[in-house]
Amino acid sequence: MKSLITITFFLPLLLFSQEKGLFKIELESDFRTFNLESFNETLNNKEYIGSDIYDNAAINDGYGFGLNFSYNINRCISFGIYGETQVGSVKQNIYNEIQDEYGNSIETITTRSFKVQSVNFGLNSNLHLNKFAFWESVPRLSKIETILNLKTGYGKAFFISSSNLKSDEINIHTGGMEYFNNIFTAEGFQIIASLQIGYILSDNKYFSSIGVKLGYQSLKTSSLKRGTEKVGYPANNQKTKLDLSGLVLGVYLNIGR
Amino acid sequence: MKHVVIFLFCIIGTLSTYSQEKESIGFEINLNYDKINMMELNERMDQVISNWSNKYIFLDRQKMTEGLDLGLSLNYQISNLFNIGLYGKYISSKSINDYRFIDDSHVFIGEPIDTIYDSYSQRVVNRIIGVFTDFTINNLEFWPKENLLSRIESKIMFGLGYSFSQFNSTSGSDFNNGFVGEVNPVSGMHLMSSLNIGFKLIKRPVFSSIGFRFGYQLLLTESLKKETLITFKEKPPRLNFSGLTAGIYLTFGK
Repeated sequence: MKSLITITFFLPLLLFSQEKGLFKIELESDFRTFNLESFNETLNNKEYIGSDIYDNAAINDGYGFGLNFSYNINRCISFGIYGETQVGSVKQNIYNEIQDEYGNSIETITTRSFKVQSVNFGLNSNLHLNKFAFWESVPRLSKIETILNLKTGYGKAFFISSSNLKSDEINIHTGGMEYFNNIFTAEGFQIIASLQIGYILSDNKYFSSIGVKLGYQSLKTSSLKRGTEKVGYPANNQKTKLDLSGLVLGVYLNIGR
Repeated sequence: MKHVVIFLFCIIGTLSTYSQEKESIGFEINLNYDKINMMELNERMDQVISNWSNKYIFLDRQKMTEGLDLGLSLNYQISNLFNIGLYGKYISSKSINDYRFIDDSHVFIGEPIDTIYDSYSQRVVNRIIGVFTDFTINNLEFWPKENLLSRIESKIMFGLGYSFSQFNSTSGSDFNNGFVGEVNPVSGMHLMSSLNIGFKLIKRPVFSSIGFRFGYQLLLTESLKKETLITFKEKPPRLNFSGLTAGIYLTFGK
């Protein structure tokens, strides 16, 4: 009984002392497409724009930046955590006419800025295909790494809008309008599955690799709300969700030991 | 000859003990409480509030005096005694001011005076990125290598960074779930130093430690933007996050 208790107590330390796992830090940057069709309709809804003449606006894509930590529990599988942010933005001009004190028409342009952003974090798992026997049996592929990566986590999304009024004909003092933001938030569950193909730069004392990744992200959020009163977007009684699902294409850099 | 061999053995033996940590890479997460010096912002805010209508009666005027920060650093041990790396921090501070507003705007049409209770809140957030170096005291000769003290780590850290800061204000008290209000961006330099004292949980093959950190930081930004429709219409203050910090940290690496 004493031996059993001793082994159970020291098992975690034994595991660490037996495993010669690789600890990796990964930086990644990617281009992403989003599925914001229904959301983009709200940006071009005449009811909320206040003018008949405006540029159509749509957020269809953006960029993501991430930092991952992983630890190899055996040759082929590693687990870890990740954190990332992604953003997509667009500007929209709305054209209006006002009259000066003499009755002359003056064209004004209101530039609305829209940004959709999310901050995500969760668990990261990798299956290293290049560590399997079928891969290692081909000498030419020894410097190539191929990894199936799966990220699952929580995403907090933000929709941020602001506007700025200007005219080419007169000097309009906005008083700081551009420093007012309208910020809505939503939450969702994120899954990203991707295939990474890279070149192993070094594998002696330190491990280092660089490569490309292609994958798919699923992130559908709850309805956009603002503040403690949970004001809806674009109007209080409406429910607008963000669907940031789409392709992920990017580059990564791994450093490990 | 015997003495030379023993002497060399001692040197090599000592270096072997050090070599488990040299050239290791790792990361650290830390959570800290900050005392901040927002006198300039608080005084300017008092002046702004004093110019509000007498119908606003502040029930609880809160000033920004403290903040919380979350930090992440990536580090590389370049020698037995020195570590270098990159750090990122998110520091925020908030003040919620409850007030009572006497609304007599509809008295002339026979409606009674209404009393509205609401909050006027301000927040400052700083997103900092920088470089740091630290000096490992427990790798010096005098530090015990055999007893319980050998599992204690002690480091002095210095960091230099750049802060992307922002002043927010809104009615209500919630910033985390969205708000409509002022977003006034500024930037500044960040300097920090701290003493970290921790306990090594695991030393081989991966290392992990947990501990406390105490230090001081300097963070002073340029002046906020001033405009007629935002909080500060003239003499906008700078944001000053300088002060003592204390917190906990967790490291992991190999």
